[in-house]
Amino acid sequence: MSMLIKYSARFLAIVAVTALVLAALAPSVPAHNPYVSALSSVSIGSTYAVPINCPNNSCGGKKGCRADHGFYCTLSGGTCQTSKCL
Amino acid sequence: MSPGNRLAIVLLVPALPLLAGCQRPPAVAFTVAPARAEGQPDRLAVTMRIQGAPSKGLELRGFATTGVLKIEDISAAGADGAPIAAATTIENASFNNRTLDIPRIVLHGPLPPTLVVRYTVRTGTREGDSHMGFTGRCHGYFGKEFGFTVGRDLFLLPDPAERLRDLSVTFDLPQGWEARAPWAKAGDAFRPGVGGTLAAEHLVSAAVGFGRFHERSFDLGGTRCRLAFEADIPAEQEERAAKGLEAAARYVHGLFGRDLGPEYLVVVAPKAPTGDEIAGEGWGTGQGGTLAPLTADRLHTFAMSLIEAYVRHAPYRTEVARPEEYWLVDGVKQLYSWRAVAAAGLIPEEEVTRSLAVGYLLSIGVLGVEPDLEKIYSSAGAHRIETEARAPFVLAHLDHELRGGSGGKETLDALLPTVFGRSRAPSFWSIVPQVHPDFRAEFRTRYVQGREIIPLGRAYTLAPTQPQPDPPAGPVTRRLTLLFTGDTQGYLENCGCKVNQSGGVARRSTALAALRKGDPQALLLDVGSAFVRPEKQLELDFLTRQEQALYLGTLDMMRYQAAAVGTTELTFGLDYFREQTRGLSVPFLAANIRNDGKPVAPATLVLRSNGVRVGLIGVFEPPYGKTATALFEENTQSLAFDDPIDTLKRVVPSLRTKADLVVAIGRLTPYTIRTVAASVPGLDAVISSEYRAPAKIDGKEEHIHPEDQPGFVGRMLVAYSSLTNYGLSSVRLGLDAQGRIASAEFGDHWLYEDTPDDPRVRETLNRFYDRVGRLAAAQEAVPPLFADDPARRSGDYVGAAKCAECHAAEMAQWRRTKHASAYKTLLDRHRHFQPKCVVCHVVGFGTPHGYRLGMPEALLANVQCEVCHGPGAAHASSPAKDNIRREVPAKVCLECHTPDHSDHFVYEERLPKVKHDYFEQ
Repeated sequence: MSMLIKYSARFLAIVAVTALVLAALAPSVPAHNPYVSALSSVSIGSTYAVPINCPNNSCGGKKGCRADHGFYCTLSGGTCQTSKCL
Repeated sequence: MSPGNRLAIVLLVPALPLLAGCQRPPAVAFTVAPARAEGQPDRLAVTMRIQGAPSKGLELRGFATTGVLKIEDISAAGADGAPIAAATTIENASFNNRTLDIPRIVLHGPLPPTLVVRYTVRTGTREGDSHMGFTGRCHGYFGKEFGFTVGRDLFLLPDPAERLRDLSVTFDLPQGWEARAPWAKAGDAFRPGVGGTLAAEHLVSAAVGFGRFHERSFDLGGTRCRLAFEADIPAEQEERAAKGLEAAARYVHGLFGRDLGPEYLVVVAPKAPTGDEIAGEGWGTGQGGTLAPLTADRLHTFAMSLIEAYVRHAPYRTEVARPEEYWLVDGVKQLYSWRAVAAAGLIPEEEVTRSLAVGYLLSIGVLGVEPDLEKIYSSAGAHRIETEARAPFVLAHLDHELRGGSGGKETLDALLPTVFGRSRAPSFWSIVPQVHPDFRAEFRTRYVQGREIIPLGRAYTLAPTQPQPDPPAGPVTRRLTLLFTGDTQGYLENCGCKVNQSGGVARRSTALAALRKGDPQALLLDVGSAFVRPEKQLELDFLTRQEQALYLGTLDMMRYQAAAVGTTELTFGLDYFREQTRGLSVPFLAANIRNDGKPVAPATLVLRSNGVRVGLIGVFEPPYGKTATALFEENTQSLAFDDPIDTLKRVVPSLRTKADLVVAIGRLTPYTIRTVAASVPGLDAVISSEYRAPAKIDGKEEHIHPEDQPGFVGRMLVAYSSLTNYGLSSVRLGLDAQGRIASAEFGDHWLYEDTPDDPRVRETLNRFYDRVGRLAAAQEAVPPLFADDPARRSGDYVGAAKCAECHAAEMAQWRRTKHASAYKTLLDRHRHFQPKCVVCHVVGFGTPHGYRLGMPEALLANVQCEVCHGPGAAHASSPAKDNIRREVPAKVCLECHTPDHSDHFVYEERLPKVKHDYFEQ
């Protein structure tokens, strides 16, 4: 009986050490990083990230809106505001 | 080892898989072949043979959205042919506030260990929509000439895919065709994966070509780079693309100073026969997509993808260890991809920094931009501006400061092999040289962490223009007025539904008449890009051609005296330019554009005004990089653009002998204009359509404007047509006794809604809408709404009056909304025969049972019930909850309420106003 307990303890110890080693070897990259896998949803979205119906313009100082990819310009009350297209 | 320990290990080894909570992942063998069924030439048939499927059930997941990965006819069976139910579902994933619909197929257990799943995929989804126009990109193509796809647009994989180790792909292609894929080959089968890992990622991210190929290759150190050209690409295009791709690849390899894997495959596809560019993808082992004909933008895409193999993608990337340095990945990718294009000779080197400086300057005024680059990966949002505009310019500025502070000995380039030379990067700041005490800390705090704005005034800006010529001219003896427009992009008038309603030819004509009262001999010029721009009208359909011809006709009506050939005049090719300008009175000028050695238009013209002979020269500096569209680059490859400065040096002296005043009109960048002012002494003025450049507005370093301002550079006058289609500009010149420009009064004339239409031009437009809009060809040029909804496109509409028979309360509420008077808006603005407008103001325009032009208004005019709830005939004849759409998703509203047509529309704010429990007060 004592042998069984002894071997079980050794077995559990090895399991614990193995788990610790695996944890230490696992990549510690934070959730938000440039290294997303091609399998992730972020990659799927990025692949089709061309803004849909984006007017592609931005404020041209006092001159109104002019062509500019990925931006969205609105003129209201004489002032112009540039925003990002989603 | 003691017997006890040995026993423990013996116990542990078989237990490890159980401890990991997993069993061996299934193996999948794919076979891809053209679909055999009739009428499906664009389909690929995929067969998956799955071995080791878990008995409890299996889910197959896609890696593209349902709009792109269009799965059809899916079926599953056991090895014995016994059918297995396959339920198609959609998984919703979130990306930047957008919901992505991803296909997921559920095979419920109990399953046999071996399964065969078959499905077909429809390739070639076009990006954009039929109402607003397509972007010119498509996802995959398969036809009789060739095929191209990326793995994610074709394959499903057992979930979780990350665990898959054993994948193989076999192609069954037409006689004489081959497949090109970046995977290792074992016999007839390709085997995705690198070093026994990453099989699924390698499969999904691969660019795969089908057809016949010419291969070229070169060595990048120990990496063999293979360029697989689709065989129908013309030889001269192949030659040009091969040169450009190799030059860029060598530049990138030289930067990082290390190799990738043994092979890097580039599948070079042409455009799809539809004219669309085929979107590609890249990974550590290769990339592909439409790369021929090679344009600066396509080479940029190639270089960026190659750089990503070093800095971002598995398996050969270097990982930046510190999260606060992640921005380096984006900065390096963006900066050096453009520098690679410059290294290949497709854009000037200085254009890279200029373009990035303008982008950085613009980003300063954009709402919601994270100023601290070290936080962009820890704060929510897309951060496209930070990664694409700010990060690369901060690096460009670091390079500039390193070079400046070390007398050219230190550069950013020299740091790259140290940072990206191994699998894990050292701390970036620890290797940046201290070119002066505290340089690293100061630069990081100020510009990376965004405490200060990069002092553009010191290094990246132009000296401001001056209000007076230098040296001063003599006293003014004569006056001359120049009226000018530019970059009007064939804009006839606003559609009547936007908040900003400036511009339009009918208003312009009114403004011109008023200005001519002040100086009846004022000269009227257009400095280029009067043709429609391709982002708005990618396809030259019947209606677009008619509108373009009408627009040019109005230039004659307004008595334009000269126009310059600009970017959009050439974007659809020289033949289209000639077709459209045939018979026009206004002459187009171009001194430095040749086709087969011959000028494409007259170089000069002499006009008279108030006794002054004004010599005009048309001159054109082609756009580069981000400012050039692929269509422009492709359609002008047969043209030669002579250096504009050399051209002016050559042409101005002879024109001076015939003119008192010499004016260049066209597209010259503010940078080139500074050089012209210094090197072409006989030129009195330049009026240009290109005005973008960071410029000091009053000589102060901190007062930077992203546009150059009109004024004098030395003795030469500079003016810009910066009001584009929203107005017109004027300059009243004072000339001295020798004919030199002594003074200039600039005027901007906006065409706001308080500028009345010129009745003659208005009448011309109205007649055009009535005549052309009724033509079947014009109506066919405007596709119906809801391209992806067959039920709406073929359904039977009954009209709101029928709905009201049962839904009186809803009808009463609807009548108080703006939807109920949408058609009146068209009548008020005389757009009721303009198909582009009508489609959003009626029910089912362009569908068999929908509204037709001239139909009685009461029936299907206005935005009625069935626009939101779908065709209602079945529901009206047999009312039931399941034959009408109660829910109205946002995309239904956004089909018409686009930024271009409804520029202040916020769905969440407007939705309550059309709900049936809302009553307008």
